[in-house]
Amino acid sequence: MLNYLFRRVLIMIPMLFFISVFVFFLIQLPPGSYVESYISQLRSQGAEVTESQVQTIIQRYGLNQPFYIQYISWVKTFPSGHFGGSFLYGGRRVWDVIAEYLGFTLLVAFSTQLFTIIVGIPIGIYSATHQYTIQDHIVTFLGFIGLSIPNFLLALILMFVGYYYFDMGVLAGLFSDEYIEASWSIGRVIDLLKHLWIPVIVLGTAGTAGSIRVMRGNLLDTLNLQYVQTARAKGLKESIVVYKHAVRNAIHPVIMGLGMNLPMLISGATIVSIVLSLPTLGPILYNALMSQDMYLAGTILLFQSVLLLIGNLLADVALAVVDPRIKYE
Amino acid sequence: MSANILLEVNSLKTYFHNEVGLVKAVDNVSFKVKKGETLGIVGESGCGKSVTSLSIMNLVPQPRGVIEGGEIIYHGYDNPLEITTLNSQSRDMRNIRGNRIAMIFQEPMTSLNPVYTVGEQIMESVRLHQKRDNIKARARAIEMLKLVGLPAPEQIVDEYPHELSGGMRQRVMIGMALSCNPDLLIADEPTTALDVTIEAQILDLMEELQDEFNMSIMLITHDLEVIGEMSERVIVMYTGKIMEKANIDDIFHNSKHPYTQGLLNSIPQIGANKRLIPIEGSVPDLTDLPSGCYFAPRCNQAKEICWVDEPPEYSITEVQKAKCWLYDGKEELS
Repeated sequence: MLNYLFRRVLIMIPMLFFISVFVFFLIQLPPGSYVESYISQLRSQGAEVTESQVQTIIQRYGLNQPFYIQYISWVKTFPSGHFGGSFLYGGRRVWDVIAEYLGFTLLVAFSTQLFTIIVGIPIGIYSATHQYTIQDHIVTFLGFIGLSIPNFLLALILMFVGYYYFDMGVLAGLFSDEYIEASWSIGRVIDLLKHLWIPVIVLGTAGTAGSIRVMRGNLLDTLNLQYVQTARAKGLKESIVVYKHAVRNAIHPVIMGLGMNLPMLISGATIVSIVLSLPTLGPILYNALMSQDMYLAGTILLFQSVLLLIGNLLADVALAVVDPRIKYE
Repeated sequence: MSANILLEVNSLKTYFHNEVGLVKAVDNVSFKVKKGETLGIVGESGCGKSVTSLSIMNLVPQPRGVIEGGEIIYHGYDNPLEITTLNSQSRDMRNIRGNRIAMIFQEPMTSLNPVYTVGEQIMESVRLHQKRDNIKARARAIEMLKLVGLPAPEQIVDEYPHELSGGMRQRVMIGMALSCNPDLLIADEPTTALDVTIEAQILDLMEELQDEFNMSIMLITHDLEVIGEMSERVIVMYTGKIMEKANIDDIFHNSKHPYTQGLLNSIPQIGANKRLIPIEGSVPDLTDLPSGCYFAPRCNQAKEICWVDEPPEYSITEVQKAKCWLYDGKEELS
């Protein structure tokens, strides 16, 4: 198993190489570059930009170089942890820009993941063991609403309801005004938790609803299997039959889904982050793509790929723990 | 009531309320299981033999399946216990299940949980019913694996079901079922999914262990030959009703019910150069049963009354009963 893990991590290195090439290629696909959009922006503001000035800027950023030279100069910055310079942030190191948002991004993503697990799985189990009862129908109905309602709309509704009916003030951001610039303290953590639940609910609803559906459907199938009947015939309590014998066999697809979910929580959270003005990477990626800030956008996409690989690895490990038939040699 | 009766089923009615309508899976079935005997229940698929065993275990799939009437009395305790009055999840019922009455199933490939070792699955029963700690339960698991003839039980105890063959898994199932010394073993098609050679081994094993544990076996199968090898008494079921009850010799050589005769005519015999005669037609839809005798549409001896009225159970001899109008005039039982 350890050997297998080591090899899995090792394989990630060439995979990341290909991903980085592909990402860089993709980002350069749209016509034009950051400089052109920057210059046209300057011109529209009435500034005089001569052709020689344009050339100087292009030269400085190396934008006249062929694709592979640009790629290499990007990759060269990896070992030092810079990941190139961001045009949008006046040449700041990409890593510095990302680091500012990465903590909160991961906090929101993992909180949402946790929420999905501790809400979705038990409700799915309950729903399956109470099939066709009124509770099951309610859960199913709410699940479909959760799956189909757009996240940003849910965010707007929650903010509206919180503001008008519960007098909770503006529920945007992760901190109240007085704590935004403050240093860490117990008060700041409490304030963070007070704000965190909104994005967690908004971002977690679809995943939770999905987990409920998958857990319910799969558990219903498993409960009909012979070994569940064997467990009942032993005289075990129904709760032990369900949790020990059925759930462990029914949970595989939920685990797989959670593994895929991790990067989705960043890219899928963009609109929600904008609506809720969250200090996360989603909006940064969005702006970087819009203004063709290629190193910033490329690096964020690369990080997402790393998250996907890690998520899948974690899911595979979890599957092997749950099911002895899965052996990694 | 004679003292050697272990289980008594009286006028059992187990119905299923399905979307298509009411299915009377077990309809007015009565029989007794004596201590230490092997009772065979034979019939085609859908005749209600499996539902009968699930009723005894109080494991009829709910909410659709309901025991609508009758009683199932367990005589293994000092006082008789009526199983149908117990809640399926009650402690009393769970104390019987797996402990006093154990069950093995048709599909050894799917009857064991794939994510637990076979040892853990046996130990689970032992811990539950015999209140043994892990070490003693493990010793018992190894003892049972040895008893059912598995090689290297100390090793197999830590193996997962997918590492064993079908025959080995059925041995594990038997070991698991017998780990708490039950009075009654319900074996629902225990050898149907196995090779013929393995089948013989498993049947031998069951007979051997029956003597050792002094238990009764209810052997449910569609295979008359298996019944012939194992049972002393036989019940023939059709569409949820008992057609004939008799000792094994009478079933094979002196069967009274046309359905039993039809079943016998449709099994091949080695050496006998006779044509197999299948029973005409097919089992009727349980939601749309004919009036009169349910077997009448397929019966070659059907009389006019067979299409109109359901026959009562007639007593041919002390031990042989047949539910057929042909024996009108004999003593009626129901």
